[in-house]
Amino acid sequence: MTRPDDLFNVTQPPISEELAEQLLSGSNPGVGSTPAAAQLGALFAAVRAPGDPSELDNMDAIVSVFQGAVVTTAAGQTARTRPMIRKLLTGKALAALGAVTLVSAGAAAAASETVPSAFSSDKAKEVTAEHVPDKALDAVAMQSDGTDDDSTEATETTEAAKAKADKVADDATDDAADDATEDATEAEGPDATGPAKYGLCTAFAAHAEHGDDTDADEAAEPTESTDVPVPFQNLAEAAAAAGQTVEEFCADATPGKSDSAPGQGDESPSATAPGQVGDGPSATAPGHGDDSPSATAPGRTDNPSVTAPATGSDDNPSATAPASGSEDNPSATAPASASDDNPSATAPGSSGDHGSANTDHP
Amino acid sequence: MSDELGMTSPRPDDDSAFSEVLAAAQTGDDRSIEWLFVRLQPRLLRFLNAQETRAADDIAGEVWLAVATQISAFEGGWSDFRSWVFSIARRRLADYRRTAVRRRTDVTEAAVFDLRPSSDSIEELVLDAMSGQEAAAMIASSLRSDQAEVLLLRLLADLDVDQVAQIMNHTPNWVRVTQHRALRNLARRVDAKIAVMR
Repeated sequence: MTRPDDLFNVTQPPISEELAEQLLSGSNPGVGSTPAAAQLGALFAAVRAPGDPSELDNMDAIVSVFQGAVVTTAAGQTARTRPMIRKLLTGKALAALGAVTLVSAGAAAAASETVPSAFSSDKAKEVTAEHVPDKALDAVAMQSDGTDDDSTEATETTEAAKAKADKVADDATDDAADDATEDATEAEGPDATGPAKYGLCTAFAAHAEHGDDTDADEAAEPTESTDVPVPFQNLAEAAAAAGQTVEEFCADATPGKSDSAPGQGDESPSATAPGQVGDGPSATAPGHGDDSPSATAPGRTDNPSVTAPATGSDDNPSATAPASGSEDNPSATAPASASDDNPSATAPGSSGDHGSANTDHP
Repeated sequence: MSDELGMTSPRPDDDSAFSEVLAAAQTGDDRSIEWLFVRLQPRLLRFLNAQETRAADDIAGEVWLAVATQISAFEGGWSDFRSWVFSIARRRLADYRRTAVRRRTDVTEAAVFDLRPSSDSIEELVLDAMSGQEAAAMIASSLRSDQAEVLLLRLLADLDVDQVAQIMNHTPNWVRVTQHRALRNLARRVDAKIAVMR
């Protein structure tokens, strides 16, 4: 048996896209074209009808709650903002403090001839504790001593260290991945006539003044032949080449003065190395940096990971900006993402209004 | 245009008037809040009543509370605001249904409504005597839930296809196809009822 609605598609014309939009948007010029459309139009008009009083009977209560919630929320947001600002400031302060601490720790470690293992990579430690040649140390003009478990190694002669350095250089060359070690073993040391002159002179003077103050328990009892590290040897050689004593040669040394600085940049690929070339000797010189050429200087200077975390945490806004923005700035796009209740306030494709029947509500 | 609250009603192309109302409502101005409430609450209730009769009032209250707590961060026009409010309502409705399922209450499956005959109030519809809530309920009971929701969002929230698509997490084409099927199904039911009446 055929039901009446089985013939609907036969007896009724299809609903066009235009008619559908007219029905749904409330503009009714074509609604009466068919009986079905007219009925739909009437039905939709009823749906859009202004609210009756029963639908607004709890308006006072809801408006009151709404008002209280708005005020409370506004106050809460103000209260929340301050701690977040404090957090951000604290975070930045901690980051800056961390950076300073890292740099200070490095300098202190170098000055005390003790560098924490965290400041050097495994490869660097492997090299520096036992095999680092003087040239590698010279490359960054840093003198320090491994006084921990490797203290006895520090008593090796420079010649022995150099002999081992050749072997390490070969090994390091094979290890293409370890650029830091490679660079370190290929270093030639500071040019005493270059920008490192002042630092070397300062270090040399400090060494001359405090060179015998090494603690007994540091176990570094350098022999006469190994007492003078290569930077100082370079300084002495430069002074001799000039026909002067070291003191005379250093008399005209001024910070940053560069008679000739060939290859300084090439020998110090690290971004931090240039600064340490000038500062290193003076920072580590007072009596501590000369006993052993083995140190973590190559690891420090050639391994950018030493300084990268500090500078990165301090200067990289991308690490903190998104988090702070998502937590603390609910404006603009926040309604779209802050919570489930926040659809996009600036919804794409929103093409304006269709007219609100409720605007005529009494 | 002045209304009973002494405020300017935003026209479809006039979001600046709404922005004034919104700015005042964000500071807790009671008249602005009433302005919003009067225009949205009846439609919100019809939307909720058509889908969850028993909890419509409670869910509407939750919606207004959610709006109140986040209106200070809202930016947009009148259309965006309606879309936002009904999106909240839809989510609250879904939350309620999930909770109701966990409580093992007798939630009626949507398929039951599909088998349910059209409302007997078609005659009233013809007589133009159907209330807004009854008309919305008839749409919900005559159509599948997704079709009914599309129609109700378009009719009650005055949203366009794109806004409905965004709220329902579907494509605009899906909304167009669904609303077309909904209209056809609804017209068939109305036509069948009229045929029976004849």
